[in-house]
Amino acid sequence: MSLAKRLTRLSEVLVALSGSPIPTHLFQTLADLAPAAVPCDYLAVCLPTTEQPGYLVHSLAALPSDISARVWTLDEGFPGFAMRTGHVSVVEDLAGADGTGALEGVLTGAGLRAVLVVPVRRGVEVVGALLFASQKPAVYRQDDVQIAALIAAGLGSALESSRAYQALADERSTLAAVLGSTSDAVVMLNDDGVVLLANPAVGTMLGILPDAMVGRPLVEVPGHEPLGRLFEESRERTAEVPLPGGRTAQASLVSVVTPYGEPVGVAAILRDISLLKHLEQMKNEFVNTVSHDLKNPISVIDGTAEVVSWSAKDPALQRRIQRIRDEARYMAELVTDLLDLGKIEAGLGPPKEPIDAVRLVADAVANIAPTAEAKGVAVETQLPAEVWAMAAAPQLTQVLLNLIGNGVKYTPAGGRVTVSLIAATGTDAKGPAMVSIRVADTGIGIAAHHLPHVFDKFYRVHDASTKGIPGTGLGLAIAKSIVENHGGRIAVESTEGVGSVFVVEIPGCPPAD
Amino acid sequence: MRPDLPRPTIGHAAPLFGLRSVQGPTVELAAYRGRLNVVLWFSRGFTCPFCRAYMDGMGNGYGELRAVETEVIQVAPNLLESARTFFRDSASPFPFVCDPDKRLYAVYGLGDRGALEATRTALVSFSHAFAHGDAGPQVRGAWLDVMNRNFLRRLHHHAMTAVEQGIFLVDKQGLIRHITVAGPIDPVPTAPRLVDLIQRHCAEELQPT
Repeated sequence: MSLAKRLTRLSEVLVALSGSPIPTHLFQTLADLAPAAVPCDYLAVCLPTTEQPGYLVHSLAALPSDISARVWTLDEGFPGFAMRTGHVSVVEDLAGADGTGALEGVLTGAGLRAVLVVPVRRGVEVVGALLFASQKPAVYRQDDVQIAALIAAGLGSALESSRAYQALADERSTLAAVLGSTSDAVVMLNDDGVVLLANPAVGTMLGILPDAMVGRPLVEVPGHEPLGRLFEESRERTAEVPLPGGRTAQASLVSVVTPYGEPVGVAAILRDISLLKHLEQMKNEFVNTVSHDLKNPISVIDGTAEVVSWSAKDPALQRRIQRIRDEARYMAELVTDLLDLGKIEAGLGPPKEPIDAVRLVADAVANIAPTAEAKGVAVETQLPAEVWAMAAAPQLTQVLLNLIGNGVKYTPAGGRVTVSLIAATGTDAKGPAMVSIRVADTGIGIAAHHLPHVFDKFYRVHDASTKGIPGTGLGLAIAKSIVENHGGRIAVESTEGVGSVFVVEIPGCPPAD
Repeated sequence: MRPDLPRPTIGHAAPLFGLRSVQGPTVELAAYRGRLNVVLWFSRGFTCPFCRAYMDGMGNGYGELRAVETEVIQVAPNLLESARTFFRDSASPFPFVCDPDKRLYAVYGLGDRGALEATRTALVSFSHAFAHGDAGPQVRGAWLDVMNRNFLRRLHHHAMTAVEQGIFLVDKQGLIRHITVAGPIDPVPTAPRLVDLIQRHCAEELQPT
């Protein structure tokens, strides 16, 4: 056969080897096509075994005695030599060759004379050997060695691809199994809005079959609306998504990036939280019921004590009745505070909306003004023309009443409470990043060792200066919960005998029309 | 290569990545946020005699860099297994991560300066190595990096091409504060210069843009 023809056959082998990642296909390709490029009566692929050091001979043409049945050690045979050293072996005639062993014995027994063995490499590592054998002696020349080496290079490449393919296929099926068995719906879009991935839970949760989504732009999928709204603002966040049948899902949006930092798209993970929503509602109802059941008897005690006091003439009895009424009011306040705190910590409460913070502060100050005036404490305000904040108005009012009320409560007559409102830096078309409200007084102040605890539940400073000032010790704990619930911060600075400054920061927003 | 990616710029967040290091663990850029500044050094890796010299310099100045709360992450277009073989007992004190297909280079806007520059770079690198008694590591590095690649990928992906070097200074907020882009074998800022840059650029907080 001419060299040109053999090179054509060689290129056919190389092209065919790159055609499939399945090892048995590779071996079939070699058995079918390699003998046309390198003449042989017997062809085998020798690959190392994983369990024990050594190699197996995979015969691609049958031999009378089964050469494939046993594991050969690397010290045995020409393939072992090739795999150990990476060298090529060419044997003109097995009959007269030195250093032949059991493996060569089997070949000789099958009537084979000439042998050509080339190593198969992956990178610098030898991962196997190709064995060609012929019944005619002295058939393998330099051309054959080179063509065989190229076939081996092609096989090495194909085996590497095959291994990578297997690893990817395993990984993919594991991933598919995980995505398939989770009850959370996972949907991923690329930058153009085309659905790259949707798991079976999407079907159960949204009523859209994953097969009807994948590969199509999301906007073209019937019933995509809840997802479409979620993806519209394509950045990392969480949101609640209404599902068909009155159910609710909590969705987290994450941007998907390869380990090399290349953006791939955006994924949404949806979890059905209908049950949680239901429990939340039950808790809400429970809180309302308990509130009613606790507060009612207290009102009755207070009311009855008042009625009794009308007819009581004895001053000692009057004092005792007054004591009952004071304690009943204190208890009513405590119950209200506790329930408030429970509600806020459970995340229940009025919705947050853009509010005019200037007006809210002015109203709160006006509310406290009579008390302050009666006590002889001046309340001043420093307010800008307009600042908007994202808040629940009743809750923020509660915080302000508490802070300003505290200021008045702990400032002796002749003192001053200053309430100021500042839109923090970062103001642009979207409104200020943060709005801070500062309540400063010239009161008794808080000792340094009490400062870290003033926001703790039921923490009160008990000393001579606070004697006779009533309070439940829950006001600041409630204020802190409310502010944190708004995504804000509350802080205090104080010097004993000079005064205290409370600063509340909450997110700002653009003005509502 | 994704030509549509925005090029990272000063004041913006550094693109995040998570790559395996020669030392073992996967290095996540996000994990340094709030803890340490990061010198992200895109190099030509162990096949380059100049990079090997810079690595030694960076190793010698590593104590001073740590003293200003900074980690160095060296990125190289080498194969991970080859790099582990090359550095068997001599890995640098800072993480060396591998990006053989130069994908992170592309994300950070570092390109290849073409075949002519690659030829010049290879000639200069090899002659420099041979003239400075560095021939052994040079040949060993080139052999490990090129020969371990799939036959077809050897042609265009290996580290012996003219890939640009880059130094990106990332502060504790994860923002880029300084960028130096250099030719494949041009000098990059030394450790003392980096300490100076860190003190100048990473001291105060920056408002994210």
